[in-house]
Amino acid sequence: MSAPATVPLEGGTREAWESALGLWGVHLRDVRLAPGEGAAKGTAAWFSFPPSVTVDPDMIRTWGVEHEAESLFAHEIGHHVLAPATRMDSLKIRHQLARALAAAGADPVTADDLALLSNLWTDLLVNARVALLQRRRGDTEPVGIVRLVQATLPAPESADRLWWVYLRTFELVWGLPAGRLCPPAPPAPAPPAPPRGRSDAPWEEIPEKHREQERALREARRERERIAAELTGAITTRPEADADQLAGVVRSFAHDPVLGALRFGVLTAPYIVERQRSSRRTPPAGPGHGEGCAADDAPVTAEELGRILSDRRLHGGIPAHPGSSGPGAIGEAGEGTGVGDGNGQALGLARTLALYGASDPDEVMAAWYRAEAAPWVRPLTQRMPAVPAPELPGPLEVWETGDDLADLDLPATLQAGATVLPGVTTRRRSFLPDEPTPREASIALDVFIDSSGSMPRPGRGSSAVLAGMIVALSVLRGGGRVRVTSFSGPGQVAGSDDYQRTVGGVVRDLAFFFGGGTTFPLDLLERRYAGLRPPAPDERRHLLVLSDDGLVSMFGDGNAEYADVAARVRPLLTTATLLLSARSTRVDAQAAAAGYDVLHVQTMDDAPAACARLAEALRG
Amino acid sequence: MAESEELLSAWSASAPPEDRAWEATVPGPSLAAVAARMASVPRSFLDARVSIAALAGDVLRPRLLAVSHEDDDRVRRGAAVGLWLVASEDLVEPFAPSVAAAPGIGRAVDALALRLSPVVDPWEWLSDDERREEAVRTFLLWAGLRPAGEDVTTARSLLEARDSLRRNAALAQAYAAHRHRDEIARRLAEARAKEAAARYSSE
Repeated sequence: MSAPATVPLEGGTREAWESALGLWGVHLRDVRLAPGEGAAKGTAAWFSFPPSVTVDPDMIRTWGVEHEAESLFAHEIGHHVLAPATRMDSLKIRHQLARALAAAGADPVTADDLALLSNLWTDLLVNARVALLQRRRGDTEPVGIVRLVQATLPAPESADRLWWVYLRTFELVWGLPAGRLCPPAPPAPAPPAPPRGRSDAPWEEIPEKHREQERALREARRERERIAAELTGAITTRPEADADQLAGVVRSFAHDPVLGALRFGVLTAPYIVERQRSSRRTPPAGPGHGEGCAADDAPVTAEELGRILSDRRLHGGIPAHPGSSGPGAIGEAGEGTGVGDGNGQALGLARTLALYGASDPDEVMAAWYRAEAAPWVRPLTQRMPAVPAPELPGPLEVWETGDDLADLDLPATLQAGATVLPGVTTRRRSFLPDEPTPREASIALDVFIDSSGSMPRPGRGSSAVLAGMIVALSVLRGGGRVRVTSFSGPGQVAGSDDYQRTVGGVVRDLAFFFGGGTTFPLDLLERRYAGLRPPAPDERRHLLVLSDDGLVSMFGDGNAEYADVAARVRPLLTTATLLLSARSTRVDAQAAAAGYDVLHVQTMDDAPAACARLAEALRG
Repeated sequence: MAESEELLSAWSASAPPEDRAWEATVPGPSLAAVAARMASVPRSFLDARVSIAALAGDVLRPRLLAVSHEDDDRVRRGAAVGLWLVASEDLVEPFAPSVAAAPGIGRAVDALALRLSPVVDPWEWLSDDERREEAVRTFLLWAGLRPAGEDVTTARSLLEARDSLRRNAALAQAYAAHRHRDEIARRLAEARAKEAAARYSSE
């Protein structure tokens, strides 16, 4: 493919570009004028990272807005200056909107919806600011950006309620009278999709003895379907009020697009949900609204993911819809499994994986667990008995004739006088006692994680993985080493043989999932600890096993040949802990006999807190 | 302190229909000029010991309806802000055209005191740009003026967009809609439970 043809930036267009840069007070690489490229992008102007702006002059002529080139440029420059400003912030905005959509019950949360919302939000912020700057400059009303939007966006015939809210918000933010950009009244809501009827089996197929029960069941089902349809039909969106609220959000969050995106999402997500549930598909209209002007579709890298997920703004509670009574999660669809997604706070792992579908799932998982574990991690170091410090040099004192000749400080002595008189001019350095130097011990953590079918799946937010992650990160931060072994049925063992010091490898091993039976790899345990001496005083070896009910195999159940391995290995370890989410306590006696501590948690969801306690205990 | 509804009804009993008020407006001073003047209201006007009746007597000829509700703090402050706008024409400089000479100036002060202050506390007119704009637009409307450079439709639409009473009503509606939806969701959960209970084993 040959490089796309561009036309030089000169004449009136260059003046417009420089005037737009002056409006924002920034410098940027010259705009690329690429005739004919807009068709593929679905828009006449777009921005991408690293900061650059591209404009399709042909398409602008088609739209008939070539006189508003300055405002068009100013809009795209605004995306680089204000919102989203950086690729990182654009990803964070997308993440925030995904949270709002998930909390509002959107299913699925599609990339198209996210692109649409993030484009609407950043455009609102940018256009509000451009109008402000142009007014401050003293332009005549209506200012350029208002004329540009008036020429491109209105779609009076559009039945899309979100689009109406969007245009009405512009009217409110800019102080335009109603009816300038959109009809004075919002379009009526679309009727909900008819419920998918389920055909019941014919009566004749129902055995005589079940007919009464079947009748009651069908009645209950019909009642449930009727109420479900009523719920789908309950419209909570109030376009006039929402536009008013949005205008307030635009004003309040003009300087924090990432935090504001969440408020924006809470207000607009119900429209997306409404559209998903309606029978009518109403694509937003208007020539200026195609794919949006963000042209950046590179997948998110591991490093970026880490930085996105570690932003605390992306973990706080979702604010309530201003019109609702309860918390923001209206009609929470919820994934209902694992951790981190039960209360509509951070985005659940399954949704996070879907959101970053273009990135490596392993990296997404690693970043997600890392971010989830972060609040619990306390660097775990082991203090050793302190070593007496070499003494601290003190003041000079007189070297007496009986003192050791080696103690004589000749330079100091010669400074006292050219003639050396022993016991008079001779000097020696005195030493003072000093604080002993503390020493850090080496810590090695050996984690065995059960990945049998009864454990929660790592890909859906497993609390066992999270628990392991907390302890592993605590050890790694403290300068220790971690080895993770994932085990399930006989012969199903994964993980590295060596201790590691990097988070990536640890989380990959933790997240490995077999889904088979539960048999503790005693042979492996024996082999690994064979030939080792008990830990030296400056060495700490911790063993942690994360499992559920089936851990009796660790003490030889069904594996008689290795029955005593656990007990034999115990003296080689500093601490050995089993973290079990078991209902029964049948393993407790065996574990106690072999010298293992047992921590019980009711469900695996309590494991993170238990692990945080465990980390405290390991610290000693 | 009097109830907000009471003050609003005292206002609506005396005010002419809003449609007629809009039709009667003539171009007045610019919005920015009046808003800036309002923001600079002196502390002494807002002092709780100032008698509105006395202040109005000094500043205005027509009798104020607000005087009979002077015991309400908000009314007193609202009226004082309105009276400052009138008095400032002598103390600072006259608006162009003058608001003190406007036909409905007494009603304009009453509108601030009885129509707006029960909905938005006058302190907010001073601290929040939007609420100040609402106050200025309300004041000008009932004085028989509209902001310079705006026609009746524009001025009316812009005041409606800022109208706190309308906004509160819209929020109340949204709240009711959410409550309604939550109620259906609760009934749905019950119906689901009933359906689950009605399931039977065909063995």
